[in-house]
Amino acid sequence: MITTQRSPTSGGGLQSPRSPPSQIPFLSVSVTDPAKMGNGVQAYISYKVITKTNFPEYQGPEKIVIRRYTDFVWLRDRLFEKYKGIFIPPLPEKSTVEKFRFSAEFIEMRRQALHTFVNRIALHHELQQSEDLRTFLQADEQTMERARSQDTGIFKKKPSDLMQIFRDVQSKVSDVVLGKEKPVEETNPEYEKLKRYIFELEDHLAEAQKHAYRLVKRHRELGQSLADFGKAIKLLGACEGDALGTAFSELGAKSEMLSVKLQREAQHILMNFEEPLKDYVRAVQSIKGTIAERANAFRQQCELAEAIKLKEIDLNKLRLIRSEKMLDAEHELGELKADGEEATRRFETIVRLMNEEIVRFQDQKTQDMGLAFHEFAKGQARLANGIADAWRSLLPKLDSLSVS
Amino acid sequence: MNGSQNHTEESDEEILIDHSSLTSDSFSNYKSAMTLLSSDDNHHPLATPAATDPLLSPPPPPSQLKNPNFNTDSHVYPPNSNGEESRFIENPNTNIDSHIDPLTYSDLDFTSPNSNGQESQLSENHNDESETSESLYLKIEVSNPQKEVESTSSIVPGGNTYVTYLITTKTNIPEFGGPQFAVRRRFKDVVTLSDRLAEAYRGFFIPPRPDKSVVESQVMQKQEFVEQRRNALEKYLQRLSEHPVIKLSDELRVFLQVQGKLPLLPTAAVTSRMIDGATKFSKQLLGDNSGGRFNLQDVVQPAKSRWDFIRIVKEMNQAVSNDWGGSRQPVYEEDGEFLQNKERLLDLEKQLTNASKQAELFVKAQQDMSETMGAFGLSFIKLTKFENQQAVLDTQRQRAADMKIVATAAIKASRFYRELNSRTVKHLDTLHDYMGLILGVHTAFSDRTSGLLTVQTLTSELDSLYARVEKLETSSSKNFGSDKPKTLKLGEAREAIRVTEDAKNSATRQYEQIKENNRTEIERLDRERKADFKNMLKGFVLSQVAFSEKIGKEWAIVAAETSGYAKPDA
Repeated sequence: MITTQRSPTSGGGLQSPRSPPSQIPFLSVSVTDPAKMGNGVQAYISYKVITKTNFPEYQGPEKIVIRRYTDFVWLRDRLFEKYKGIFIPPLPEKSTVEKFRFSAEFIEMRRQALHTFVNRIALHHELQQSEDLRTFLQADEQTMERARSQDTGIFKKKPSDLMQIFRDVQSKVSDVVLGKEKPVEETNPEYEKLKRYIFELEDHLAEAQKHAYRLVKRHRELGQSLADFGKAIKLLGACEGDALGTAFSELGAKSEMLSVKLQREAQHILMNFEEPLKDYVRAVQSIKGTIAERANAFRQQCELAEAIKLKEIDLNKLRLIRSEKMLDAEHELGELKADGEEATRRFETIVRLMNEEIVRFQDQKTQDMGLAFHEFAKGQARLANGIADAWRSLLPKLDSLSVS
Repeated sequence: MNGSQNHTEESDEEILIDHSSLTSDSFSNYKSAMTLLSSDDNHHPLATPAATDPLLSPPPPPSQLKNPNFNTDSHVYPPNSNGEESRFIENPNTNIDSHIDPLTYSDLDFTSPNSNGQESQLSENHNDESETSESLYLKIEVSNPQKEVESTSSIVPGGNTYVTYLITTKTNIPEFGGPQFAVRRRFKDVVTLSDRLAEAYRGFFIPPRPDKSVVESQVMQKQEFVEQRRNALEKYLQRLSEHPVIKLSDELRVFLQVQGKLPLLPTAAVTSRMIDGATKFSKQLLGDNSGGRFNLQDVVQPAKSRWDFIRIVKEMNQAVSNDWGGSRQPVYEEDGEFLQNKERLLDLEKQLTNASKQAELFVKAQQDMSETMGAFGLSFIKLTKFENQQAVLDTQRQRAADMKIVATAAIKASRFYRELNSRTVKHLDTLHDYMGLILGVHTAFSDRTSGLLTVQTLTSELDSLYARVEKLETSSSKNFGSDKPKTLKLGEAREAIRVTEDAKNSATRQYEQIKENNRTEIERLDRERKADFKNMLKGFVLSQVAFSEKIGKEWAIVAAETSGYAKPDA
């Protein structure tokens, strides 16, 4: 079942389903209560992951586990490996610098992003069936740690990365053998269009996100300068005395008040607009990973098809000379054919899934961005009207000041 | 703070005074210029006033201001202006009250454009120059910068290039004899004008002139620099024209009107002329004045003329054993009210400086907001176009449409911020302007100090002269070691006393005049500042309200149009 993506809410609230628990299958997850663990270089943040479900595969109606960022990464990598063709929801960036600072803002943004990540998985009709997801949501810490460390090493690479390197080597060899220079690629024009779209979209979105972040900064700066200006105006008013002095002082006070509003709005934009925009960028980057997977699958399919052809030629040669190697060759051919069918199947699955996914993705993003736009516009309107109201309240006083 | 000079002045009623850039350089340049003039006071305590010192003459009666023949428009400094002398001799004991009393002003039907324009002053409704028909105004524009080459033969090939500006004046002041005219002036001329005004109007709060800033001719040719300077000059001249006293001055009139070479003496020329004119002191003693100002016929600087008189005295009497030690006389300011005001104004200056700085930062932040909002909007316009071009699914088109609404609103908001900011700059410029004026206040106050110092110096000199005479009278008839007989020496000394007494009396009158100028200027400053500040606050607030409302409306529309996406529990 594909449900409409619910946007993440802040902090401690649990996602509660709107349907009665026992009838419709549901899986609802929340990520809450970030807590700092460890010291110095070893320090990390742990999160409480609360699962509420009536899926039969799960151990019970509710489960709470503690997870850290690398656990989420593990989950993402496993899903990426297993569900080729599906756009795996993106994770917030691994930060090497901010980690040491662990500001409240950073922690909250990360928590929100992780919450969104898990929820999207839980709401995806295929991904929600994942065994790895079940492990993630339910396993105790030791099991989790074991599972995580199986994939860790000093030279740890994502499974997809290793396979990629292997395949690159493989394809290089077969290219030489087959006398081809270029790697094999699909020639599907619609798919070409999609690929170009995804790559260009990332650039556009990245730029928009950059400006959105700058806008946050501008709000903060304007707020700060208004506060400073207000203070200075108050001091100037003290020089004047009488009604004019009072007017100055009130103006200064309003400025300081508006400064607070601006800071709040900056925060609002950051959380409700800039972060969803960043999330959009990450999602597009995730799709690029899927595109790479599809290319791999396609190449494998082609390589095997080539290998089969060559094997058949070999076999015919062997048949002609009635070699005893013929039997082995037949056997090998059979295997190759099976592999080929497997490769074709895998590739076609990816294609099918991607076609479905792109529709789902576009729909989801329209919803996500629509909400983000709405929040942004609401905030800006609120801010502007607040500013207008504050200043307007000074006008009667200013009008009553007599001209000397 | 050159940023404050970049906007054009729409309503000149609003801002009274010049706002020059307030780097310490400009202040110290100005200050050092003024110190030069008054330094001799400090270093020559026995400096006696030159007979030619026009500062000795009291102001004329107020009625003279109305006299159209009062200032012949031809030359400002005729060596002998008999007409003026005789007029003055008729009223030798003119009141030393400053002519700048309200009575006089109302007699002239003079009102500064400010006091009329203030009522109608609203930021949103930019008013015209709607003074009443009775007020006197001067509207000055500076335009059309042109490069010119110094005509004097130069050793350096290529010559000395400088820039001249076309200065156009529109006025209804009768002395100008015409409603509109124009001259070409270079910056050096402005410096001369500023120097002459500083000498003639001691005690007044005179707007400081734009910076000299040492530049090579290469930089001079740069468009930006010339434009900045043009703008600064315009503001400066406009400020001068708004000062109730200076707008009627000869110096300004000559500067604005007389074609060809500026007939005001630059400082160097003045000094040499003054030495020549040193012997004509008796006539210049009765020199003419235009209310409160100090007329400068041949000589300019009281300090320098005193120095030259010392020379003369020295020649007359070689045995002078005066103390040239340059001991500074302490100046005792007794006027408590003045001291209070001074302190108040110093405090005001401090707070103005701070407020001015914060205003600059605030304006910058508004500017940045406008730019970033615009760039933000543009990036979404690009996204919209992109999605529309590439759209395969309807959801994409939907999203593109949403983006377009947001982007359009952002771009509109960006424009509103920019417009708001240009209004804000104009309003808050009042702060910068008053900072500039405070520099003029410092000068006016140091005029007072130096004036008092002169009086005290002359007093002590007089004392020593009396002592000398006494000594001479009671001595034997033996020579003191010079060739001159005792009677001659006595005569010379008595003559010196007479001259010094006259000088002291003049200096005292001058000092009283400066004090009075200070007083009236403080009143004017306070009055006009209150009005200007009120307008500033009101204008600032009104434009903030207006534009915030506009911005709010735009975003409210977007919020309404995207409300379908809202969370149900929002």
